[in-house]
Amino acid sequence: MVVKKDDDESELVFENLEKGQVIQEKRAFNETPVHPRKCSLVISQFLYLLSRGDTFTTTEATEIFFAATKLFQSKDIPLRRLMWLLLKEFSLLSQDAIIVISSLTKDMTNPMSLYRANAIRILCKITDSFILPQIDRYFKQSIVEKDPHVASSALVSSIHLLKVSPEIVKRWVNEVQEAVNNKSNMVQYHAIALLHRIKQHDRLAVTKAVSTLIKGSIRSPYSQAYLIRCAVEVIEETNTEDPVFYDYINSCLRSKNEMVAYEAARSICALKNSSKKEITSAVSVLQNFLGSSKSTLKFAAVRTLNKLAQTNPAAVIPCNVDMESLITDSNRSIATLAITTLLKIGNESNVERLIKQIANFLDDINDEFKIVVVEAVTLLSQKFPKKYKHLILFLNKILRDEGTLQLKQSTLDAILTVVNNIPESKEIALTELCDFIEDCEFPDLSVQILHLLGQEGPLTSQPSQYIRYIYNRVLLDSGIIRAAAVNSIAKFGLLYEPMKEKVIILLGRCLLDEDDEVRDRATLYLQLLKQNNTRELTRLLVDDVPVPLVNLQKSLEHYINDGDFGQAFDLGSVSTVIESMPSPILEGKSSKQTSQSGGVTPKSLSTESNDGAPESYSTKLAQIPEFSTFGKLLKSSEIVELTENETEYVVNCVKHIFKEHIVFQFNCTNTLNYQRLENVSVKMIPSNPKSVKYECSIPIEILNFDEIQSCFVAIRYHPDNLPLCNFKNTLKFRTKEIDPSTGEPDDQGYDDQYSIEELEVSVKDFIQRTFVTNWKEEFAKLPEQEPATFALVSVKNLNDAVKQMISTLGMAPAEKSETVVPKSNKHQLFLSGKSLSTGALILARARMILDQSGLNTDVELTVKSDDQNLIDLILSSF
Amino acid sequence: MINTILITNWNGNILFSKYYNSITEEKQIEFEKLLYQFTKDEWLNSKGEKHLVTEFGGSVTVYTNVGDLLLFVSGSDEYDELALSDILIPITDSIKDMCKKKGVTETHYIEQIPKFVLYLDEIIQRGQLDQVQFEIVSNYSSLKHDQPLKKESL
Repeated sequence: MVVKKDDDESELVFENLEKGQVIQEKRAFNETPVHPRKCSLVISQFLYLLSRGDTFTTTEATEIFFAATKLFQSKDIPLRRLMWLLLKEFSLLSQDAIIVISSLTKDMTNPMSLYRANAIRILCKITDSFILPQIDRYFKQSIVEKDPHVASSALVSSIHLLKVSPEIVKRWVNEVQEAVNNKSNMVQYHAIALLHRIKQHDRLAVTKAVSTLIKGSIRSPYSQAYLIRCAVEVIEETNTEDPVFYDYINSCLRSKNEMVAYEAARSICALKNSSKKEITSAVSVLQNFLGSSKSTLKFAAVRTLNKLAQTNPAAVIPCNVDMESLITDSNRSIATLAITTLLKIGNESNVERLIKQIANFLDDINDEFKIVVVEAVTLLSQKFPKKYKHLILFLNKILRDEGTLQLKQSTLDAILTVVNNIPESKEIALTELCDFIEDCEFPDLSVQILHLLGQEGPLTSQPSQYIRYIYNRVLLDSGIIRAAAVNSIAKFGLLYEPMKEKVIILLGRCLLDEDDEVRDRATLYLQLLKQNNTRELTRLLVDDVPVPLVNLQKSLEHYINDGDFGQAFDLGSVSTVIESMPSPILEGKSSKQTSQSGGVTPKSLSTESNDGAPESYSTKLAQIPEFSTFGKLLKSSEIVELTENETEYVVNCVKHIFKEHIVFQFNCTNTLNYQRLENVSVKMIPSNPKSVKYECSIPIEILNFDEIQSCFVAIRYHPDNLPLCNFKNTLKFRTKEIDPSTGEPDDQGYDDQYSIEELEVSVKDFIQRTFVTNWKEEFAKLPEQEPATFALVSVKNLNDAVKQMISTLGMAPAEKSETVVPKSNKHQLFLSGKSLSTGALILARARMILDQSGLNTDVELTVKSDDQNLIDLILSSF
Repeated sequence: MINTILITNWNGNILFSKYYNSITEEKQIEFEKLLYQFTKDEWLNSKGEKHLVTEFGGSVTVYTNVGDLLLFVSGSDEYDELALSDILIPITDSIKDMCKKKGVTETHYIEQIPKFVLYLDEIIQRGQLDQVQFEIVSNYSSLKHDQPLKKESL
């Protein structure tokens, strides 16, 4: 062996390492006798590749795994140690890893503990429910071993095995109990963790075990912290009054170990039934930590206080001074949490000073944390509406300082929220924003602000002061901003009569703009203003687009691509349902995370995940040959949930209406990680079999864990006899258990079914929301109809009544009649829609009044249409 | 569980990463990006093995500096900031121990990654804390070839 003396000149072993080359070098494993150093180097190289992120195919992994098994012959300990590690890393990638079980069980009998500890870790990784019973004595033996290395390895392995074969691991409970008495702190900790997990689903057993352990002599910090968590769990789940659990937590509060004391304090703050005295002592422990030199301890304390401030702000007030000193902490996560906590416990008298204080340190905080602060300040606007001036000025400072678009967008959103919540803040906010757009580097923000100025400016006491700022944009900015400014100017002309003449002059100056869009808009608005066509201007400038913009964009693209311009584009044909299928499971998870993180959740997490634009239903359905003869998709319903979100299988449904067919799209999610479902379909039984005819059903072939896929059922109906009925639904499928060691399903499986909720097809499914420009005129034109009167039982306020009417009828509110005047006890709602099949216009007027008891809402509903049949159907839905 | 261990240089280039929570590569990149944004400005403050902390997306990350390296450990549930800080100690000690001859430099660390993997294997088992005392960890990993392996030596 030649070893170079000069290290600096030697070639680095791992630089430019190539996977293919290393795989070749594995032949060293086959040489006899084994060269420990050579093989060690090859294994090291594999480990390096893995840590660098290289991936291996199943074939490669299997070859490497099998080659490495040759090294079981070697007695060289360092080599064996590396070999075990390599086998462990590759055991999940390789096929037939089970082959090494006999070699490993031989290692289990080796007198050296190193052999046994490592062998058991691999055994745990490659075993499955079928093999485990044959080798479970090795686990039992190891768990009770005195040697802490082996015992810990066995216990930690068993924690993982519990997910694979819970039944078998549960049989080791006596051994685990014994291991709790092991002298090693870590063994004790692992044993307690495993014991708790084994008994987890048996409340009584957990209660008993925990109360025994509490009385015992558990001394290691990790074990104590774990026991505190268990005690909290028992208290929360059983509502026990037994003082033993509370006493234990309280005694831990006085522990010299920070981890234990913190865990106790955190638990007391989180428990609902903690007494005032207990909370006071917990808070004083945390207060102590706030002054610690360790960042992690400070962070833990302030994080817990932040959470407590949400439910019990008064309890946190004693820490005020300590937390104020943390505003300048160099660990910004601590500073940000301190700020948000202080804002939560702030009161009318100190909030002003607090905001000033925070503003001074803003420059030291990076944008991610500023967003958190901005959100906390926005919340203040609800608590202290009188302080709006300081809030707006504070937010405006952030808006003007250097920052990313993301930060500025959040800040602008915050200002808009404040303006919406506190009308008095409008003028000061608009003035500040006018200043801001004079020097704004983000066109997106300028456009939004110009929109706001046009919307709110004309309604203020001095509309004229804003127009100069807006017109400056026309003179100085890019096309997109100039176009927005033209809109804004035109709104002043429309909404504030005294300025109309001036607006006409200003718009006239825009007629020669070099940008087509700007010229077009100016010309259009100028003409309409000169003609005094308020109705058209209102429609163009003030009314919101009545459909989601994404859908409008798609429909327009579709219309243009079709190339058939014989018919004008119909806004009514744009779906009002936002077509996306967020996974209910993922949603649930993410919301949980938000609540845990105690306020520090970056915006980017949620915004980025929404990037994937949903493919439209009609495109998707058109790709399915069975449905190709159904014609044009007329309407897709909203998503109807047919299960709870936390069940084994989550199913929801979308109804697609065609001229003579209905396609039910069932979106199914399999939430069981040990099952694979095959041939998944829904059996539907109609309550009125005569009105529908079964057409076809398209099952899901394979539904893996955590996947969303759709199966379909199609029925046929006659347009003159709408199939208004309920369907009883059953999910049918073949289920196969997944073998956790291989990830493959077993061969057989069995058929199973799962009841899901009923689904209703009602008249609203055959009505399209539509928009009429002058509802009252149109309503007067249609033939008179007798009104129907009825009561909405236990609808106690008009807002709910409006919502219920809109959702039952599936029609669009007109004339902004969906907003109820606050505190009034009667309301008129105007709705418009049209028949899917005939296109006949339907208008409905609902006069609503709270009845004398105040518990129900009386409704007088008048439905008008040229289609008498439809009127009857609509009235029958109440 | 303990979700992730990342080791980077001062430029933020990742030298070692281990995801115990087996999230998709996309999520890993997203996590790394956020981690960078949340901590970058404070890296200098972690000199002298000072443990700093940040929190986002439902997990807490404790990080520190040793030699030319930055170490990040993130976890959730029972592995809170205090536990993670505790776990970071044997990890730091392992790196110092295996690089003790030439100091903790980037190149020297890379040479020793296989040995580091061995140490780490004793500290964390699939996201669960196994051993937290460095002496025990170092005993268990017992790898006797402690000079770096060289190509030429074969």
